[in-house]
Amino acid sequence: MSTLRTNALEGVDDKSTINITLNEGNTITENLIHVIGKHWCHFTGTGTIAIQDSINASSLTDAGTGDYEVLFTNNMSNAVYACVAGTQGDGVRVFALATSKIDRLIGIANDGSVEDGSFYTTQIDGDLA
Amino acid sequence: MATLKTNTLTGTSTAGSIAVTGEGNSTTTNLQQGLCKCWVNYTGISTTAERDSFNVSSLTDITTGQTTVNINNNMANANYSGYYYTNASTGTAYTNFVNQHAGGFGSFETGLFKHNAYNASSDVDSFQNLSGIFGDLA
Repeated sequence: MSTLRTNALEGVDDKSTINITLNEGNTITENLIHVIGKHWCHFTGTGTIAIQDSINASSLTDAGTGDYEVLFTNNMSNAVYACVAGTQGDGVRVFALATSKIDRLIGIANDGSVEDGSFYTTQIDGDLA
Repeated sequence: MATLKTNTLTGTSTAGSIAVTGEGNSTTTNLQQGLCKCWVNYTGISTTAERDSFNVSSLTDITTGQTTVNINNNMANANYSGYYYTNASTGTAYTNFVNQHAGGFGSFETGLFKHNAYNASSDVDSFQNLSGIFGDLA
């Protein structure tokens, strides 16, 4: 049993490349930074919208009923990352992505109309700028 | 190329905080905060049962189409983030799904979260339920 204590990890040849063994069979390695989520956020969607907790989320924009923007603290390197969302409302769609924000997050009611849900959650996997 | 072998990683100043350099080599992100803290794949038809999971102690069948996922090691607060997908159908074929967002979270608590599978007219016990949680562990 060994424990490494450190505040930061950097690759030797490239700062952002640290291979880690991922599988129980000890045969597969992957770059650690690629398997770390780059953003998550939990925010209220009604009244004055507000971030309740997050990583790499700086602020929100209320773009209209059921229409939200989630801005990042540190940008993504491109706008083709993976993004998923959840809600306590009826439904949610991730409609547009940008390097600096989730550009359109749309709350959907059961009848297909746009609505403000009580809360929304977002997560992102991809490359930081 | 250097290989470091260890069984455990711990932050020096804060045990649960280690910075890792991002792909662009210009920013850092927190290792622990970027990790998925709980995930589950389960069926809700017949007897509700998980197929596989991480950090899940049990599932509770609340009523038709509603399930509680009980977390093994609790979250620090109820403001975590998550995703939930369901096919909102008892059918087991890939064609059996409701063509709209068909699932939502009932609530978040530190020790559990609830799923609600909805097929546009009522809650339904569903074959496919996939969910994950991101946030701070207690």
